[in-house]
Amino acid sequence: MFAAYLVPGAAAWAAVGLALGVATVEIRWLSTAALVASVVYGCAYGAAEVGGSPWPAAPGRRWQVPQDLLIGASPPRRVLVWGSILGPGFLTRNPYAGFAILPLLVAAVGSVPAAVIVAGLAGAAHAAGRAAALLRDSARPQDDPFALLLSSLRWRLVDGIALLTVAAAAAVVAGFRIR
Amino acid sequence: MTAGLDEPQADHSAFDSVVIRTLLGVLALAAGLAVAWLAGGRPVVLGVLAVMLAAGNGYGKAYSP
Repeated sequence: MFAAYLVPGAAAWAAVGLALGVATVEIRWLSTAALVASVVYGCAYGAAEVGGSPWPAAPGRRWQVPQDLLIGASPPRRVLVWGSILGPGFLTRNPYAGFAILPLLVAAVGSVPAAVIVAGLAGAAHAAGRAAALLRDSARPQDDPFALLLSSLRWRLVDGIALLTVAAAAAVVAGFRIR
Repeated sequence: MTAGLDEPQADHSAFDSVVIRTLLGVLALAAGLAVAWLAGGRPVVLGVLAVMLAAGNGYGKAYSP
């Protein structure tokens, strides 16, 4: 179960890290621009999420895995489809703005090996978190919709706190780099 | 019961107060500044934060209604 999520998550993100790492080597200012964008993005979306503002919505796709992709599929194939799509996390809807800052952070680290390692670890961490949450949910009765909504709002607050922390850290790194 | 809310609901309400949210935001900014400063402004600190953020994001996404 974990492997079905971890492997696609780490592989897809490592590929993104490679592309971003090469791009930052070819385009010298890209890494610093990503750093500055991380500060602006983290402050804007972090403040919105911590403040409880419904606007702006987290950037990203609205797509969800269609049921007909899974109907009639064997359990291993179903886990494989879920893992390949949900593990990396690029294709499906994500209600938290923290996800979209990850490529900026990968581009901000400034070298190809570091970008591949950070992206691969981030992909693996995202996939592991997703798989752990599914295992958690499968081991207990489903929450009622109101409790689910409250949990989602609290996670949005946590995500906002994390974004502000990242934004402040990126500002310091930018300061050291520009100095 | 507190003002028509049971105890967990009252806890949520308190947690959502503007003052607490503002304090949490300021603390988050301070923590980010402190961590990156202590790391000497090295980009690796962003890598570590990115991995932690990704793990939390993946776990929290399951709560999305």
